[in-house]
Amino acid sequence: MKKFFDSKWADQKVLIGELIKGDPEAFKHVVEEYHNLMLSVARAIVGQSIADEVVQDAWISAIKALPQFEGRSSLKTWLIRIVSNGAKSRVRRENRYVSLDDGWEAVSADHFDHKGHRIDNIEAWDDNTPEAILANSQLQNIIEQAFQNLPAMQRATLTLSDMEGFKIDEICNILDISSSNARVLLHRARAAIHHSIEQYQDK
Amino acid sequence: MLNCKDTVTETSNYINKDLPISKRIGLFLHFMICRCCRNYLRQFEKTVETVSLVKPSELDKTNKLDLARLLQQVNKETGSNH
Repeated sequence: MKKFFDSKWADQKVLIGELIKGDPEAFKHVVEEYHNLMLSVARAIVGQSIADEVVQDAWISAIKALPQFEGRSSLKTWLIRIVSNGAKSRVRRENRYVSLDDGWEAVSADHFDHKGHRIDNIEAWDDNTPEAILANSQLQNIIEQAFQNLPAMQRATLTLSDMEGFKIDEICNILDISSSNARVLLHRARAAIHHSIEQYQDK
Repeated sequence: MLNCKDTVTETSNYINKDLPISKRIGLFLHFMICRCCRNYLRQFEKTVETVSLVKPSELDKTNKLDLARLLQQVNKETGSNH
């Protein structure tokens, strides 16, 4: 189900004030708005099995610290920082390695000749606007499915970059990865979604 | 001169304007002369734009209403401790 922006909570100061006062609607709003994003970050850093626990701990820390929140960043960025720090501290003693799947290719090598020039023919997609694509529920399902099939680190990078508007250097800090890794993960995630749309368009 | 294979690997960085100027110009020139890569770039741009509209999110079984209530309780206890 898609989220719709509730203008009542557009003013962050009002939202935080209501949270501190204990307004149940404000709590429902922040959980609905930010929980899945926090989960995405936690799953990328600590893995699926303990991500729920890490996110719950992050929520509790955030709510306890809310009266000290100074508003120097957005509430979203603050919550992401808390869950990211919590997740990183859980894996601090482990040697985590971000697998970049060596040998991965956005486009199969047999689409190019020995000089690296394309031998296939890429046609323009039907001239649908993204809004028109949105109205196509079958295509939406394909995109959702392709997203769920991505590794957690790619899902988090794609979410933070293309859906939440974080810059590459911010993503590196949040996920504790190098900028070259972040770029590779983002490209692979986009290429996988592109590939799923391409297959649909070719039908 | 960049070939089509080089272009594919840099498409994402090109869209993000996250490349040194010399490489950006090289890609721009390649897109000018290669219809296939130009179409690939447009498809890629449309993919990024569409994903930002579809906004797929993590599969999650959390009962968000229960979590909101728990946090409300934590907030109440924190407030009463001050």
